[in-house]
Amino acid sequence: MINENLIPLSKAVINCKYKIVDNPNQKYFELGLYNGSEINVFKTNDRNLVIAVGASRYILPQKVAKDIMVMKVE
Amino acid sequence: MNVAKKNKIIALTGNPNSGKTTLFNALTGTNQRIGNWPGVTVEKKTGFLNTVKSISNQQVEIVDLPGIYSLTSYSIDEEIARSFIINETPDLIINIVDVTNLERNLYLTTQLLQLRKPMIVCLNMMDLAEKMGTKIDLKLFEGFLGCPVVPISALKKAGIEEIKHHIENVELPDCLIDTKNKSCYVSDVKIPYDEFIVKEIDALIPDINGIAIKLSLDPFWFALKMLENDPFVIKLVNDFTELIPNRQTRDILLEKAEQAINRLHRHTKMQVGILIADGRYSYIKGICREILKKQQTDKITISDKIDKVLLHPFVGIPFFMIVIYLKFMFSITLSGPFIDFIDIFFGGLFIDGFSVLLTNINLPEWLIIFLADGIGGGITTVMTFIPPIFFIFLVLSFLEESGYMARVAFIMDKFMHWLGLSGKSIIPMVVGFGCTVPAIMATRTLENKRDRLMTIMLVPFISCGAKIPVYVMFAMLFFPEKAGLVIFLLYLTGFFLAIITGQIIKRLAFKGEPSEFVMELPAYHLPTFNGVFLHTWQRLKGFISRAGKTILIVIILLTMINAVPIRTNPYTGENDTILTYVGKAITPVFIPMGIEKDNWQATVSLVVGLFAKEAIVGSFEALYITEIDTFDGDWSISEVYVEAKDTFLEDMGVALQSIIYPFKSIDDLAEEYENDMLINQKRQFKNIHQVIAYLLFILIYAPCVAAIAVAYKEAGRKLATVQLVYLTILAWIVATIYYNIAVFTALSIIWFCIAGIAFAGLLVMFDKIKIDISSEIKPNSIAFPTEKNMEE
Ligand SMILES: Nc1nc2c(ncn2[C@@H]2O[C@H](COP(=O)(O)OP(=O)(O)OP(=O)(O)O)[C@@H](O)[C@H]2O)c(=O)[nH]1
Ligand SMILES: [Mg+2]
Repeated sequence: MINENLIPLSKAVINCKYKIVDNPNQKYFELGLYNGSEINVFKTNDRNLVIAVGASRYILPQKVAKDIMVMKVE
Repeated sequence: MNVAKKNKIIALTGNPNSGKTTLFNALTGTNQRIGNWPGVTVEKKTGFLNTVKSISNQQVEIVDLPGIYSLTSYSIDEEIARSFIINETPDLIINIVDVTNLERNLYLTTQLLQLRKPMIVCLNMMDLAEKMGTKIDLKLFEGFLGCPVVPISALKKAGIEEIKHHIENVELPDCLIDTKNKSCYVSDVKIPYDEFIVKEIDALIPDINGIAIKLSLDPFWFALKMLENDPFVIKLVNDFTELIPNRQTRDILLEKAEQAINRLHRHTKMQVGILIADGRYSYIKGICREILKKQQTDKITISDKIDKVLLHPFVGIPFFMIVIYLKFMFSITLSGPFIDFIDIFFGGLFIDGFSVLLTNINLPEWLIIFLADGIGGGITTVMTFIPPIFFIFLVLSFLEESGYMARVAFIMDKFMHWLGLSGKSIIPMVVGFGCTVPAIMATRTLENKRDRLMTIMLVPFISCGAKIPVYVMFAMLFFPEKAGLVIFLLYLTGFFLAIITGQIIKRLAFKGEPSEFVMELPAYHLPTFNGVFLHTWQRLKGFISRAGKTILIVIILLTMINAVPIRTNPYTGENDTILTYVGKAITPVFIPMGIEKDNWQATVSLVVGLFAKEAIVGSFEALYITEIDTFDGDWSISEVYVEAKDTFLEDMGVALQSIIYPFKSIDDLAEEYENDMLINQKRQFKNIHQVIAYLLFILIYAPCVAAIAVAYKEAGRKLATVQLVYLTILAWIVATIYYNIAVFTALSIIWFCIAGIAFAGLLVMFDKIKIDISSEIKPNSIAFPTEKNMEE
C-alpha cells in the first residue's frame, strides 16, 4: 500500500514540520535522522538543504534527501 | 610478562565540536587549536596531564582525537579517532558529550559503552545548558549508562578536578571500581536490541569469542559489528591470519555472519545496520525522557533566525564577500598606519639610535652596519609584521569562533561545485589564510579522495600569513602609500589563478563529480573578548617568535656566508661568494620577468624563501644592506616619536579613505615609485614592473618546505611533485607575461611564445598524470594490533 502522504524529504516545503518515516541510509540515520524523528527544512537550493533535527542543524545533500521518506506533521 | 609501569593513557573522544580540544587544553595546559565548527582537530594530539599531585610516579598521557559521530568512519580524520579507540587500549576513555545536543551525542556513547572499556562520560557545555534551563538527574543517568557521569564546562574550566579524580582512580586491570561513587568504569549496560538481532549475536559469539578476546575486543560488540557488515571488522576476520590461520574456518565464520544478515533482513525487512541504530536511538530516547527534568525542545533558536538571513541566496554570497573584504582591510589597510609608526619609531630607535650609540663607542664601521642595519633593522622589520599578522589572526579567530565557518560551506557550495569541488572544501581554503600547513591537514575531513587532492592543489593559491611580511616589506620599500592596494591585488590574483587552475584540473587530472557532503551547523557563539584576544595573542606570539628567529638567523647566516669569498671572478675581478656565485648562475632564468642580470640577491632570496616565506625578508635585509647609508646627524628620541605619530595620523586618514575607495589611487602607484627612485635603484629593481613581476612570482611559486612536506605526506609523492612543478612554472609564466606586457619590446614576443609552450606543457602534464582517486578509507588503513604490541 502506498501512502499518499509520504514524500521524499527533497520535496519538503520550507518551515513545515515533517516526521521521518523511512531513512534507508545508515550514516544519516546515525546522525539523528532516525525513523520517527521530527525534521524541519530551513533552506534549500538545487544541491543542498539546511535541516533541523532535534538540536542538530545539518547541511544535507539533495541526493540523500531524495531517499528519505517523510510525512507532514499537522 | 611483567612490564615496567607505563604511562597512563587517557583518550578524549566524542562528537565533532563537543569541546574535546578545549578540555584537552584545560587538562594539559597546552594551546591546541579550537574552533566552533566540526572538524577542527584532524590528527591525534598527545599531551601530559598538568597536575600538582603526581599520580603514583606515573605520567598521565592525554590523547585528543578528531571528532566522530559513530564508530563507523567515513573520512581520514574519523578513521584516526576510531582506530585509536578500538585498536589501542587506553586506560580510560573520556567521552565528551555536548549536553545541549544530548540525544545525538549519546549515540556514540552507546557504542562506546559496548566496547566494555574503562570509560567516563563528561557532560560538557553545562554553562550553556544551565542558561537554557536544562536540568539533569545525574544519579539516574549514571545508572542508565553504568559508568561515572561528570558535568563540566571545559571552557569555564569547571569540573576539571573531578575528571582528574577519575583519572587517578582508574586502574587496569584489577581496580575498575570508582571508589567514591562505588560505580564501575566498565559499563555492563545492555542495550535492548531487536530480539532477532540478539538471537543471531548469541549464535555468532561462540565462533568469534577467541578472536575478539585476542584483540581485546568485546565479543558482543564484535558480533554486532559483523552483523552491521562493517568492512573493517570483516577485513579483520579476513586478513588476520595469525588469529585464524585456517582459510576455511574464516570463510565459514564470514558465511555464518552473511547468513545471519540475510535472515535478519528477511524477518524485519530492514537493513541490519539501521535496525541496530534504531535500537540504540530507542534506548537513548528512553534515557532522555527519564533523566531530563525539562525536555530539550526543538524550537527555533537565535542561530536559526540568524541563518534565515545569512543563508539567504541573495544575502549569503555578498555577506561572505564583505567578510573577506573586511578581513583584508583590517589586516592590510588598517594595519598600514601602525606599520609605519613602528617602522619610523622603532627604526629610529633600533637602527638610527643604535648606530649613533655604536659610533659613539667607536666600533668599526662594518660592525656598526651589521649590528644597526642588520640586526637592528631585522628587529624593526619583524616588529612591523605585528599589526597585519595580528589583524589577520584576529579576523580568523572571529570567523572560527563564531560558527560562521560551517555556513560558508553552504553559501559557497554552488561556486565551489563550478570549480569542481564541494562546498566543504572552502574551509581548508579559509584556514589557508593563516597557514598552508593546517589548511592541507584540514582536507582530511573531506570524504572523497578526489576532492581532497584537488583541494590540496588549490590551497597554496591563498596567500598564507607568512607571505604578508614579504608583501609588507615590498610595499614599505617600493610603494609605502599604496601598500594596501598592491597587496589586495595580489590576493585577488591568487583567487583568480585558483579558479583557472580549478577549471583546468577538473577537466584533466581530476575528472568526475565532487562528492556530496553533510556538515553540521553549530550554534553561533558570540565570541568572547577574552577568547578571541587570547587566541589571537597566542597565535601571534607563536608566529612572531618563529618568524623573528627565522629572519634574524637568515640575516646573520647570509651576512656571514656572503663575507667569505670562494673565488675571484675572472671577468670582473670581483670576489664571488657562494651566494653571488649561485645567485648569478640562476638569475638568467628570471631575466624574462624583469630581474636584472646583476640582481643576484633577488634570486638568492627566492631560494631562501623555499625554507620559509618570511625568510625572504631576512634575505633582503642581509643582501642589500651594505648599500644603504648609515645614519649620521643629530638623533633624538622625541623627534623620532613626533615623526612617527604624525605619519600615523596622516596614514590613518588615507587608510580609512581607501577602505571605501579601494582602487582610487591605482594611478599614483607608478608616480610614487618614481619619487623614491633613488633608494629603489639601490635595490636593483629598475622600475615598478620589475617589482610587481617579482611579487607575482612570490605569490605563486613553490610553497615552503613545511607545506611541501605535508602535501607529500597527505597527498603522496606524485601529487606533491606535480604541485611543486606546476606552481613554480606557473609563477614564471605569470610573472613573465605580466612584465612583457608592461614593458613591451620585440623580445617580448619570444617570451610570450615560450610562456605559451610552458603552459601547454603543464596542460599535458595534467592530462597525462594518472592520479589514483579511488576511495581511501579502505579497511587496510587501520593499524591492526601486531603480535608484538599484543603481547605487551
Ligand atoms: N559555552 C561553552 N562553549 C564551549 C565549551 N567547551 C567548548 N566550547 C566551545 O565549543 C567549540 C568547540 O570546541 P573544540 O574544543 O574545538 O571542540 P572539539 O570537540 O575539539 O571539536 P573538533 O576538533 O572539531 O572535533 C569552541 O567554540 C569552544 O569554545 C563549554 O564548556 N562551554
Ligand atoms: Mg578538537
